[in-house]
Amino acid sequence: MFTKLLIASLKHRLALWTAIAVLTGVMLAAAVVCGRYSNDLAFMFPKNSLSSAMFKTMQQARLTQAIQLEVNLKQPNAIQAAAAELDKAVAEIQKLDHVQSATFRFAPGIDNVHDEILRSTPCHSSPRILDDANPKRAVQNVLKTLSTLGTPASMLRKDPFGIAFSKLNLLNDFRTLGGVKINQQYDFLTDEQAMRTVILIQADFPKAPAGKDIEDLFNKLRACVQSNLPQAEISLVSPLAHQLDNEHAVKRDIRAVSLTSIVVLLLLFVLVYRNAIDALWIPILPLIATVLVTGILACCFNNLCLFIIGISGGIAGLAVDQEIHVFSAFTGENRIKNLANIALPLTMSVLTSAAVFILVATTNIDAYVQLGVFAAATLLINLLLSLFLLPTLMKQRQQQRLRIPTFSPKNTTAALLILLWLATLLTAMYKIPTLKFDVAMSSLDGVSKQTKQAENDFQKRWRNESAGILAIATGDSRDNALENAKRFADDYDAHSNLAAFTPTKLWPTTQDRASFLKSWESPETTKKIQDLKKQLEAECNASNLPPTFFKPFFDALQQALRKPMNIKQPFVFQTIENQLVRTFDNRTAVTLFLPPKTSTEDMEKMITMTQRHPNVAIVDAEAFQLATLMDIQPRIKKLMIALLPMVLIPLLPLLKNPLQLIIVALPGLTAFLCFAGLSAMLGLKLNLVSLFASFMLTGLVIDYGVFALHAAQHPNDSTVPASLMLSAITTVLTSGALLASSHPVMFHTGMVIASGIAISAITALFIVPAVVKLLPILKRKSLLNIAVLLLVLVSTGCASLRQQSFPRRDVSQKIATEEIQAFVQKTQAPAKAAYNAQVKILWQALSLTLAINSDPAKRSLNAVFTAPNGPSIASFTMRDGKLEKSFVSDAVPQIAKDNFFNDLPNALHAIFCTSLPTTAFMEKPNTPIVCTMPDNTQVTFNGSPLRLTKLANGRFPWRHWQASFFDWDPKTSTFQRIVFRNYNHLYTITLHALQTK
Amino acid sequence: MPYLVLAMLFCVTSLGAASLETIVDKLKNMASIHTIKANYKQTRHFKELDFTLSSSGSFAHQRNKALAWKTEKPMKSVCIVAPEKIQLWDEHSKATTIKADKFPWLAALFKVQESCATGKIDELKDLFDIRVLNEHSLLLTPKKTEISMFFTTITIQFNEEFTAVKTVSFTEKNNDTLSIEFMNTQYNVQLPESTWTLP
Repeated sequence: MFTKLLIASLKHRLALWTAIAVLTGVMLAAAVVCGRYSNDLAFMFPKNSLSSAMFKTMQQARLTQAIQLEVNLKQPNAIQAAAAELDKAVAEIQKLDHVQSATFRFAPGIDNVHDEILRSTPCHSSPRILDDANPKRAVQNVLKTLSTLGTPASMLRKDPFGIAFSKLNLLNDFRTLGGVKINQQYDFLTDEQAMRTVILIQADFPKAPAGKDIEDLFNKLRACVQSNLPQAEISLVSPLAHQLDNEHAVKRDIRAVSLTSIVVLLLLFVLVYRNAIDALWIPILPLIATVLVTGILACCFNNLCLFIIGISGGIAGLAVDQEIHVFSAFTGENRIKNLANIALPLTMSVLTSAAVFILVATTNIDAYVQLGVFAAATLLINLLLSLFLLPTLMKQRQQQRLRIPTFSPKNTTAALLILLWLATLLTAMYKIPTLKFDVAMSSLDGVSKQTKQAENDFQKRWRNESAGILAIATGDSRDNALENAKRFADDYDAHSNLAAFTPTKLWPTTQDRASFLKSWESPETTKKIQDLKKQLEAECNASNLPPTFFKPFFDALQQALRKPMNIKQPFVFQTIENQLVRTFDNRTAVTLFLPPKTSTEDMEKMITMTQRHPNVAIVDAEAFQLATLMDIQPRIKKLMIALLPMVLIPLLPLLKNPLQLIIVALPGLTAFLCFAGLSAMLGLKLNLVSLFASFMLTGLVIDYGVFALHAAQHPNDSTVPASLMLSAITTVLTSGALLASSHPVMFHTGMVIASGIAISAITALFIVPAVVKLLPILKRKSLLNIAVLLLVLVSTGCASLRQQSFPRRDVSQKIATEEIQAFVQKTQAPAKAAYNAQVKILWQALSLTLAINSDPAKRSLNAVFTAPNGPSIASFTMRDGKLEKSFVSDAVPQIAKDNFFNDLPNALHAIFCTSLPTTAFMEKPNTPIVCTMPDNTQVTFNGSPLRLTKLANGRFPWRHWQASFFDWDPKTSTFQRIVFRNYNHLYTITLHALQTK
Repeated sequence: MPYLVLAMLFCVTSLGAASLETIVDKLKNMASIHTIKANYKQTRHFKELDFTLSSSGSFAHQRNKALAWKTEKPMKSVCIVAPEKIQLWDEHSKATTIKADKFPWLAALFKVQESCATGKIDELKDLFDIRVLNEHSLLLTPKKTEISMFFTTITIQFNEEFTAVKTVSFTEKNNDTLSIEFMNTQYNVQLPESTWTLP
């Protein structure tokens, strides 16, 4: 079939060329006309995920466009002296394009602050504050304060119950949580010595700005200050600086990589193909494939990620391997036959790679969907081009330009090589447990050392340790955003000992203000005010104060209630609100502050809370890291599980027995183990980029396994080793150029691809032939069985739980039945117990306390799990084997709820309520005695007298769960230790009995 | 905010100096004073109510340490101000401590006070317009809103020797007045440690 198609292509080459040329032209036009391209990083996050919502909110709030311009005048008190010049500079900055606001001074407006707050009481406070008003205490407080050194009296008369002071105290919370280290003697931001100041600038670029625009703005900002203060030392701190640095780094690196690629391809052309002009088609065909796919995708996707096209272009560059194989094979008199020989392994390897990329597309992350589809489509189209178009473009030549014989070692050399290979693998495996993973987005940030240093210095100078955590609430209107902020703060306050700060605590939302006002105008409140007035007058009389001492307070209140329309927001509150509420593109963002976290659990709690408030994001590196981890982890798990079948299925037509599977897997497996071991040894942390690059590598390295197998099957076919080596050299050199990159994304991609391909190629060229050489000597079947068994054991994770050991007993069925009945009688009665529960989910562990009432006869239980420090984490009620009530604390992350807590009732039911047999159905007259129940649960009894030692559901390798029971205490009729493992959700619970009396 | 004003006053009363022109010379006398102990009588007049309220007690100050303001009448109360905190007590309620981090002006104003105590009155010029009222009195007009929102003027009258403050008078925005008279002033006496602890 392939041969027929190839001959047809060769015969109708002109028609084929024309068709491809036209198609390429059309697709190029489609890519230019239909394509919409974007550099939006939001594509990098899973749809409807926590991290995506956080990123979107931060984008809407334009936090990434905030700029802090620090001016250092190097002389104490110089800022105050230069305040006028700074005012002028700020006025100039405000006029610049892409500047929404610039703030130097903070007009405090506090001269009438008390009066303003008191006059607006019916709007900012509920009349419920009067419930706590104590006239006697108010008079005592006035007497005390008036006696104290020089305190002003007027404000005491206006505020007997401290309403204004409680509001002003909130400003203190704002100052503390805001965490800016400033000298408060001035109405502008300045340090203790008044030597430095900071101008806060909010840029307003309509979308992600280009580096040139950022640079332009930065230069103009510097110029505005320097023209007024030539002696000033200026530094700029902004996320925009990161963007600028990243763009510079990527551009510089792309230039270096492109240059390296050109040099490598030229060398290949000159040295290997000895100036064969038709060899130039080797890099051109993947380029044509890329154009075709870009055109198709431009018509299919609304928005294409530019950086994904870049990465996919790189992958297409790696597809040059296919052309190298075809170019090498399509020589000599039997060139069609030679090509047909490698067509199948080439197709299989491309299908495997494409399958891996399609798998990446299932992550529900836009960027990876595009990457998966783009890369898979490019590889498949490039395969067709290399198999059917390249031969039509090649000159007929009798001999392959580069010939490398298949490596065929002697037995001793093969054994030595395998030993060396095994030793390398063992060393790598020994080091792998120390491998660290870093999901922080900062690990992917290509920011320069200078910018990082400037930021650190800035933080040290201006940031207090008491600083809280920033959060952003957004909404489609000012009211809506403030309402969202208020709801989040209320939720936070209800679940925390500390209070969050939001501008609505100073000046409530429109809705709340209307509600407060209505309550103040009610007859009940009017009566309450009159009563308080009378009580205060009486207390004043008793303390020798004039009865009208507090008249200013009641006058202010009555005046406000008489003309509520005249109530104005106090100027201080207005100033703060304006600082914290910003509107961009019809979207309003409110900044709020949360108290600093005390532990990671605190942060998890905050993140979990944002799930209930989709318009709120916590702006904190650790929070973002945790959210990303929570979003990415389950996807990685699914990918890992699906990877093996996706790689193997396309290979099935090639693999005749499991041994071939092992040979195909060898280069890839070696590459991953060695890469992981090497990273651990060098202390390199794996990050999101290296992880996804590893998935890509899986698709690429399979080729080496497939061709190594092909070479082993066709020892006389000498084109494969040469092609393999050429492919590896080109890939390693081009991707290895990325190792010189200062940008972490490019560096890690280069690191994974270059080292992975190099190791795979070495394994394919030398280790695979050595293994093949020695295989006939070894007992093939036994080796194979052991390998397959180990592979299955490791992959399924179905190792059984250890059980308590007992000496073997010979027992009759009668005695066994009596002993089992006695045991069942004791354990099937209703019982109360408490346990310390150690839970392990994959590599995570947590400790809980379990209190449980169980009634096995009724298949009912009540269980409560509490955290070691007391709060309830989860509780369940089951009746007749069915879940009646279930509660899982909101503090529990969703991932833990899904994978563990939702299954927990079943686990408890299995441990405490499984129906036990009352008759011993014995297959043999000795212990242990295993009975299989109708629901396929195996119950094992052992010991003397017999007691339950194991419960298991399902059989290896399809086991669902297993429970082992240790240290039976006949006095309390409880087991001191119970270990339960669920093989579906991969968690283990170890229960240690607690003394309850 | 009342603590802010309190601390401002603390600076002013610690100044204990003569007229602006001669103050630098006079302050040299203050350099040797490490502790002050005095009784005081404070009189407030509420203009609108035509009502006068008096209080009395004692006052103690140790340079670089703290100031204690103890009221005996009409009710017992104590206020101890130190650079790192303010402690308050009265016979009707429990003791309260306000740390400097809740009251950022405290440290700054103590610094000013120390400058005054060492004769650097230039520090006060940032906060007040200072002019001579008469031979022994200075009139201070606040420059900062944080002070002017409460007081329009502060008058300080010194004793003959310019070694201590005799009276301090405040005028509030609504024309209420507050006058503090210091009596039985003693210098450099040993102040027991209990001076700085609440009852």
